[in-house]
This record gives sequence, C-alpha cells and structure tokens, in this order.
Amino acid sequence: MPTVTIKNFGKFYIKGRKTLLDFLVDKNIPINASCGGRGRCGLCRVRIQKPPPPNDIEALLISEKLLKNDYRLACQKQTSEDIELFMPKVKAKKTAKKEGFGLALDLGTTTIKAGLVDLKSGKIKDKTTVFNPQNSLGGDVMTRISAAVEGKYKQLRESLLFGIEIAKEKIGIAKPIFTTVVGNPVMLSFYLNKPVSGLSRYPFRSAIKESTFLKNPTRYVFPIIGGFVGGDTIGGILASNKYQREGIFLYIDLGTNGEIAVIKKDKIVALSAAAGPAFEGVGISSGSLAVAGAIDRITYNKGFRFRTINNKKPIGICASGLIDLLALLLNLGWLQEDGRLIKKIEIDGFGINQDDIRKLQLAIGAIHTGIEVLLAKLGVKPSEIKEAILTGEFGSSLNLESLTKTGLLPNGIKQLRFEPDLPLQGAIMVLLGNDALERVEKIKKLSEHLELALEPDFQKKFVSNLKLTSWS
Amino acid sequence: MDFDNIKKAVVDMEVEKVKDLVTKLLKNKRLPEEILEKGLIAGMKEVGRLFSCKEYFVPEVLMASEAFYAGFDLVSPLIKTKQMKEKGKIIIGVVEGDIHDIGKNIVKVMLEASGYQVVDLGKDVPTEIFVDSVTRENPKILAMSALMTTTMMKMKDVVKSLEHKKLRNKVKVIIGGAPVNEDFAKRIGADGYGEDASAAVSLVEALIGE
Repeated sequence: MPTVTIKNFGKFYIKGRKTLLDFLVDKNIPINASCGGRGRCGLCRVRIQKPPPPNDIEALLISEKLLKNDYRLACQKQTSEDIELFMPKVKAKKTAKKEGFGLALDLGTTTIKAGLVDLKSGKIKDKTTVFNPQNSLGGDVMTRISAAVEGKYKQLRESLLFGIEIAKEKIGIAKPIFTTVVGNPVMLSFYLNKPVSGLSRYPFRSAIKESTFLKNPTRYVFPIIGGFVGGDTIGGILASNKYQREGIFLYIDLGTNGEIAVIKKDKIVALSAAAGPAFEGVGISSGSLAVAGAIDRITYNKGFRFRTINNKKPIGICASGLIDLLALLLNLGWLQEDGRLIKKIEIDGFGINQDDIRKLQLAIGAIHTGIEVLLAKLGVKPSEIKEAILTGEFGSSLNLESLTKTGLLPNGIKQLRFEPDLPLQGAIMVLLGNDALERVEKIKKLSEHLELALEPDFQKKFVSNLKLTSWS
Repeated sequence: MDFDNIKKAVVDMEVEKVKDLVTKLLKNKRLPEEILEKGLIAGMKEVGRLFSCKEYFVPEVLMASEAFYAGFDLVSPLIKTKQMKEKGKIIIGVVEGDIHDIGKNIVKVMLEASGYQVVDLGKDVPTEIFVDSVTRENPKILAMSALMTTTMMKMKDVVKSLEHKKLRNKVKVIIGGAPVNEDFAKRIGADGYGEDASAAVSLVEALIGE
C-alpha cells in the first residue's frame, strides 16, 4: 500500500485512488486551493522529496526557482506511489474579490466570445460576445492578413487584445487566475504575437501548431489542426464529445470559412471550405448576422410566416432564415434547382434576388463538396452519419429539412444538434479539468487536415454541387 | 437558320444535338469557318451574356462549353491553321499562392470560344513562369487572376518583372478575380480589368481586336 510521509508530522497509508491534494484536505492539513483542485490556480504548492519532473501544468503555474527547489502541485500528484513532503506553508488568504475565476475565450474573425467560470464550483457564471475590433481593418481574415503583411501587424494585434479587454470588462473580470483560448489559426497567431504571413498563400502554413502555455498571466492556447482549421475546431469537437465513439459524426462550424470535420472513432479528417461571407449575411441584399431582429425561421402557409431572434423588429435575414427561404422557394417551384429564380418574393420588405441566390449557391456548394470529400476520404456513406453537430453563425435554430432540401447537408442524417458556441464550450472544459487538456492533445493527434481545392476532381464536384438539390 | 439552330443547341447545352447539326451542315458543304463563327461562337457569346446577367451560372457555362467543344472538334481540323492563329495567342494563369481556378477556366473557355489560341499555365503559377512563357510563346495578351487579397499583389510582381526583362511593350496584361478591380489594374500598371468572362472577351477584343 502506498504511503504519504509528511516530515516532522507522520506517515499515512493510502487506500484507493486520490490526489495528494485530496489526501491533505481529508487529513485537515491546511493548504491553499482556489480552483477546486483543477490545476488552474497554482496555490496548492508543496515541497516534495525527490519529485518527478514537473508536468505541463506545474511548469506553467510554478516559478522556475520553486520548481528547482522541488515544489510541485498537490492536485497534480497521484498518491499511487510513496510520496515524502514537507508540511505546506499556507499564506494568509488574499482579499481579491473574484479569486478563483477562470476565463475562456473564443477568438473569431467577426466576434470574440468569452465565458466566465467559477473554478471552485465549476459553474459557468456568464457568457458574452463582443465584436472583434479588427473588423475596422477589414471584414474577412484574408484582408487582415494582407494588412498585417503590409505593416499593420502591430495595429491588428493590439486591436484584438483591446477586444479581449472589452470582453473581460463586459463579463466583469479583470484578472482571471487562468485563461484558455480557442480561435482560428489567424486569430491565435495574432494573440501569440506570431507571424501570419504563412497563411497568406498556398500551402497555408500557420506559425503555430502545438498548444502553448503562457505565464504572467497564466494562459493556455489551443493547438491547431492545419491550414485554416484551428483551435476552435478542436474545441468544438472536444465539446461535442463525439470522438472515439461508435458511429460516424459530422461537425460543421459555419462562418466565413466553413470548418468541416468527419469523425470516425479514432480518425478525424478536417478541412475548411471557402463559403464566403454569404452565411454571415454579407453581400446578400437582405442578409444579416444572427443577431436580435434577424429573421431566423421562415415557413409558408398561404403566405410567408417568419420569426425573428428575440422577437425584435426584423432587420434582415440570417443564415438559417436564408436556408429556410431557399427550401421553401424550391418546394413552391419558384426557384429551380439550377438556381434560377422564377418568382420574386418579399417578406416584410426583405427580398431575395438572383445575385443573392448565386452567392448562396456558391456557399452551399462549397460546404456540400467539403462534406462529400471528407466522407469519401473515410470511405463512409452519408446515411451512416449518426449525428450532425453544427455550430457558428447560422441563427438560433436550424431546420434539418431545409438543410437537406438545399443540399447543404446530405439526406439520411439521423440526428441534428445545433449549439452556437461549441468552441467556447471546449475552452471552458479545459478550464475545468486536466483530462480535457489530454483530450485536446488526443483530438489533435487523431486529426488530419485536407486542402479542399487540391482534392482530385474538386472542380467537377464543386460545379455539380452548385445545384440546389438533396443528395446522399 | 441552320446556324441559329447550332447557336441555340450550344445555349441549351445539348452536346449530341450540336454534333448532329454540325455533321449535317458539313455534309451539305457549308463552310466550317461559317459554322464556327455564326453557330458555335455565336452560341457561346449568348452564353456569356446570360452569365453576365446572372441567368446562367457556372454549371450552365461549363456544360454549354462542352457542347461548343463537341462542335469545335468537328470543324477545327477543316479550317486552315493560319486562320485559327490569326486572332492571336493568349497566356492565362492563376498567380502564385492561389489555388482556385474555376473562374480562370471559364474565362479560358470563353476566349477559346471566341477564336483565340489560349495557353493555360494553370494555378499557383510563379512569376518566373509567367515571364518565361511570355518570352517563349510571344502572346498578344497575358491574362492573370487572383482570388485572395493576399495574393493579388503577385500580379504587380509579374508586371514589374516584364518591365525589367523589357517585355512589357510586347504584351498586353489583363487581370481578373474577386478582390481586384479597374482601379487596382491601373495601379499595378496592367492594361485592363475584366469583371467576368464576357467582359474579358470584350476587353481582349478592344485591346488587340481586328
């Protein structure tokens, strides 16, 4: 039976699996810990006789000097082997108001999302979304890369960091004890002060690949999969909890780029499809982002009926509404499968024209082709997809019928799950526990990135997928 | 009337019908040049117009071009090569770092359908390859496209490199692609910008036309 020996205090035999922190708490030995033993606050330091090398979390949370002096974190040590340590020294508790809070960030091209977590209880206290101030320097990610390459890198980085400060202020935390960060490779590069020029052109190599631990303040930044498929996709897949499970899962994060992944147990293939900004409402005459007042659901019963987000006065149509509208027009015969608009319509002053349809066809065709290529890569048929997991800027709810009618998703999907902020949820999961950290590495290891435009017969497939029709 | 039927079959994307009609006319001793000009090329011109006004989309243009080539393959061996080459040679390609080429392919089809000889360098084409090809092929036009704001400046590199090699006066440079416009073309010293495939054909005709 393993033992824990505390110098000048006593020797204890350990039954069952527990961490050193659990043991110390059980024995009423005073020890600081404000994150509930999650390895996020770094306060439960103890000095251990001949300790093993520090793990990533210990290296992150303990100063080099203390590491050299054999300090480790009690929460990171299992008591499965004999441990000898000195009695912990406990400092007087600080009076900081929000001690023990962690922050999760999702750095997107259009928005920055933040989540505030009480690490002690593990409860999510608040979530918020702010616009990425980089928008003023260019709406899409490629424009920002060009600006960065042409000398505005510093301005773009500062603008992103300013956005994060706004999000922190809005959510009410000045100094989180631990921050986790997901985002697309371009945003993560800006955040980590790494060049973005590698992403300016094919073969799209990001300056970051692996996960990054940062000190002062303590932060963890997700790794990326490859190309434009970033830590946000890893975070979303982590939160979906659908890898290494029986069955085939399809993951789509829809924004300017559509990140698509197909998960088959121990294998994940992923790519980004250049869908253009149509789904974010950009370039569509009545388009809108999925914000309050956006028409997000349209039905037809002797006339069009619609619903807006938060029941506000309509300001435009967001992605889910546009997809509904296309499906209805197809059903009514007012739109041909080749995209030709037969009858012009208007819903409360918001219409759709031939040019809008062409842009949506390109976006849907790109996603359709991405899914098709990934399924083929794994030798899987669409009917084998157990669940499609969608996240991103679609709207507030999605209708599977409309998604399959327009060809954005294939027929035969058994279940549809839609949550707008899965990548942020992934970042929150890493705040809450070390096994999530290991799972991030696992997902990264299982994932392979494909370059869609270089796949054989890409043009042929893409062109035939421009048809607005169901497929399987 | 016979030529109009061919034109209509091209616009309607009917490959077999185009073949039948062209074969029939050739049997009736109609001139291959006339079949090409008044039937096939006229058809693709109409396709370009429909594409410009958004009535036709990428798939229709590509299917119509298949119908065009079905007829073209029948008449072209019968037309003296001298005549074919007269309209001039065009080099086309997508700049380095850019791998999207559907737009370029459509422009290529429309140019070929208008009787130009097109040398296609493909996508992700380095600056030196553009310049070397201009030296070797001696084209009247160099057409480039870029699909990303991050790669469009490569076009400027090509123009500069042509100047450096004293080739700039020998070739007209035209550009296209989502992030560029007329103003950008002027700024980098190109001779013109085409908004879509039809505009590209008109531009070429204006620059080197008969």
